Amino acid sequence: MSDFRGGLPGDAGAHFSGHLSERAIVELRDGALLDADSGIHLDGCEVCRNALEEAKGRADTIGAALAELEEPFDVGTAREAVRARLAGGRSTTGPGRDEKRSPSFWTLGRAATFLLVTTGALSALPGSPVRDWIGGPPPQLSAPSEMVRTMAVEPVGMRMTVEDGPVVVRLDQVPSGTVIEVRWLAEPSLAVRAAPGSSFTSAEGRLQATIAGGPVTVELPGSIDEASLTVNGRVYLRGAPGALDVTGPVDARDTETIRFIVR
Amino acid sequence: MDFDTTFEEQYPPLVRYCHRLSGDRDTAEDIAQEAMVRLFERDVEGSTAGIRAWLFKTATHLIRDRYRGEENRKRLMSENPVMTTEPDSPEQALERMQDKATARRALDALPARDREMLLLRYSGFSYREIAEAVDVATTSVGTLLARAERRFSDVLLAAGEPA
Repeated sequence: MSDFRGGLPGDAGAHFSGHLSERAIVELRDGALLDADSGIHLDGCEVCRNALEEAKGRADTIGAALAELEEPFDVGTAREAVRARLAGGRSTTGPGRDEKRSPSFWTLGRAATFLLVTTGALSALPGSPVRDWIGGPPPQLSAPSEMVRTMAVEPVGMRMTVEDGPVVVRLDQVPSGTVIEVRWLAEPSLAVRAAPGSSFTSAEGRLQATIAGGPVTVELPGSIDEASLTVNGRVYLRGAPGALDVTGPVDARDTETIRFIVR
Repeated sequence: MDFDTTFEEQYPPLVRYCHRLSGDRDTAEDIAQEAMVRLFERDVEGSTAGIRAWLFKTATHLIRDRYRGEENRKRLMSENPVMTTEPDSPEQALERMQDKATARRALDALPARDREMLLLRYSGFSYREIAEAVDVATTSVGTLLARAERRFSDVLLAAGEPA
């Protein structure tokens, strides 16, 4: 006879000699305990049958709780991203693969995180430290291509100060043809700005935006050694200590700026 | 192995598992895609179940590597937005957010291995597959799962109790 000892679920430390253990109950529920003795015991023991029902209920509760963590994702985009990597090999999916950046770029160190988050709405506040940033000049893109979308009004955005990595930027619903310019800043600042109507959310080290239109500017802190930019579910760039992996559709780049055009 | 069929079958449950385990959607998609790339690059062969087990094990190890520092993982687990320009105001949305936060907190309360085992179990893996994925004896899985479920449930129960 296996495992007829120990307390039962919900017994709070009590011991009932002769009953199935919590482990045995869970294994029975999951079909992993198939010995006849346990089944026979269960048939004649109401306490253990109740414990089994309780375990089933707990499984339902846990399953429902885990389901709360579901978030939508785009299988098609992911499939094409993987297909592209397989077709071209990671080393050819974009210029700059595994380029070594200067130590000052990625490895300046990590400290405690934190920050301040600001949005376009705050720019209206008199004296707001955000005012200059939000209301500042639009990004200077050299030689815009035909696909560049122009923006007649000032962009909105969100900025946060980050002193520790990694940082994650995710842009969703970015229209095809949108120009995304990524810059690295000397200060520990993470920011995204785009056309009015765009919305932004943030958590520590993470900035997520639903883009209403471009151009989009992404500012990454040069002092952070781990960063990623995902656009419509596709990874455009990922920085790791000592390396930068650029896999998005690059339109132009120089030493501290990369411009993508979303396809 | 047909790419499209395999991807359609394997990617959705894999990315869901990665998301639950990592607490971060971008990381989940990144890790899931990395595992899929490795699957095809290495020409891994086997049954559908065998490939699934390989993918989940690979993803588990990739996430472990990425979040080797526990503080790092915990930091990413705290997904509550600081601010949103378009807040969801309905009570339902708030309740859902609270439920989600509670589920995350419950997962966060588990040791890493217990968390992996719980999520693998609730992704439909057998005890033997779980044991292989997290490198424990098959005979230990029931005990460890029972403990993980209890801890997880305790957090849920505590969240449901009036303050």
